[in-house]
Amino acid sequence: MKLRTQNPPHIRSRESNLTMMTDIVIATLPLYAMAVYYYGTRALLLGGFGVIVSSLADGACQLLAGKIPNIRDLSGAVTGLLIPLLLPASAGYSMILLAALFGIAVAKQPFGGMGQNIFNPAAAGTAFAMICWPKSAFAYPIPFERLPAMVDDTVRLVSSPAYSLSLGGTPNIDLLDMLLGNVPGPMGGTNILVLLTCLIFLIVRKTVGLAMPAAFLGGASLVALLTPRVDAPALTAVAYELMSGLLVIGAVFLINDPVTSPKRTLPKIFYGFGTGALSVAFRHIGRYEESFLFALLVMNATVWIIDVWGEHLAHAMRRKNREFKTNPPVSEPAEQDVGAAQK
Amino acid sequence: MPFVIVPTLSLRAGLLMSAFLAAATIPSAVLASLVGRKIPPLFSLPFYGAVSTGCVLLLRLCVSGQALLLEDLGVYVPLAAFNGMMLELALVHPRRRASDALHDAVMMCFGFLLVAAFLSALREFLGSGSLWGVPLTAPIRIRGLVLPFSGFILIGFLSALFRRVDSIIIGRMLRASRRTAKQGGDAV
Repeated sequence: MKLRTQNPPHIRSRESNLTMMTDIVIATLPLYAMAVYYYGTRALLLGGFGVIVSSLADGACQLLAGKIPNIRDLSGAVTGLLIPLLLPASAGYSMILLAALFGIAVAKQPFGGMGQNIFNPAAAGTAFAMICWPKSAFAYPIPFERLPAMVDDTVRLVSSPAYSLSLGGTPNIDLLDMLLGNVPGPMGGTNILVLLTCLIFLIVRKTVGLAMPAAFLGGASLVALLTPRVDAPALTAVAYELMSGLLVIGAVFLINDPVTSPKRTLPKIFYGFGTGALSVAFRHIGRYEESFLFALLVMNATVWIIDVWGEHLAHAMRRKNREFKTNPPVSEPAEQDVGAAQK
Repeated sequence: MPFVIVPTLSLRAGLLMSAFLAAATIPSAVLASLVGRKIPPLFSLPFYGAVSTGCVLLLRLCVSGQALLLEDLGVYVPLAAFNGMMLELALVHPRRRASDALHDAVMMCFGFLLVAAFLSALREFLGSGSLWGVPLTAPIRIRGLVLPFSGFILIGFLSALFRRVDSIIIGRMLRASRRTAKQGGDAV
């Protein structure tokens, strides 16, 4: 018999960090295409700027930590692509710069970098930008108004449907327009149909699963159903809540981050449901019209305990299963006909 | 750490906080070295409490004209007195000489002053767009810097920076001593 030696790993998967990140980059392209369609080439400039700043920050932080910079895994680029999608198309370059720097240099690299961060970098960076510039972060340009490369005071900015909901009013926008993205809002957060298509693409590519987004939207819907903010039929109120703000884009891109989410299926469902419920709950009591990012960061901090709970549950179930296999329940013997046996 | 982060939103507040901490710490440290061993443990708590509180009250009277600043510092003024008291109670063996105790306390307060001044100046300049109450044009306004969590993050980065500088200096000293030892060995 001829033996061949080979270096490990002996079991290889086609999936790697690079393939997953590439899938996410591909999934953001339709959103940028729609953003260019609605707002002009400024959308592309913001995306490109975000990618450059995030990648450079990633490399610089790795150098400072004494590691060899590895920006080819595209994790920095994904952060740089997601941040502009979470902000208005009229967001300043300084806002994107600060958000990217905060996300990489504060939320990602100090915790160990790629694969070891506790908080989602894009969510942390965007949340910090929202705190620093609350007026600019929640003022949106009108779709189909071409934006110049440098936005000035001549650009008309309006509030989003989320703002109307926060005031207790019903948005004066058709639900179909909200579905197609023809509403003022975050650059990548308004095109619900395109977002759902991106989700299907990522699920088919097995980059993300269905459990977390479904649980997330389920939790958000349940709280929206129980505590509607608009005077409308229940399902309409839920639809307004889900389609306004960052809930759908969060369900597609942010909550599925494999590093900052739990590992097993049941904890994922619990995590997704909790994030969704907390997001809508924060909308009632929070200071900002959009609180999904803060809810996500809070739940990111609890992932470690959810994982511990998930492991205990998995061990308990395996134990029960093993006990069941070794000692299966014995069925009671049928009553014997003593007379027939004696005969 | 809360003293250097929460109330230091402006340079003036940072310097005033440093002054209060110095007023609470330095007299207590000197007195602890002079009479600390003679005070029974039962009376050390009220003794150090009275000394710290008295010094802080005296300083507060001196700056009573700065009502807005004192309001910004809020609860951290009495907390400074409490901090001075707890610091001396925690010292199991106070310095035997008053000069050593004074040196320790002054250096500790000076270190606090440096960090507080830097942090408060940075947060006021970039967060509020002013310095010492004078409006200035900052290259970028980061309003999030006036929030406490930004202060903690800045302290973390400052600590990392100082550790890096420390490791570079220690590395150079080690290399120099190895070179000296090698030259001495070669000579032998």
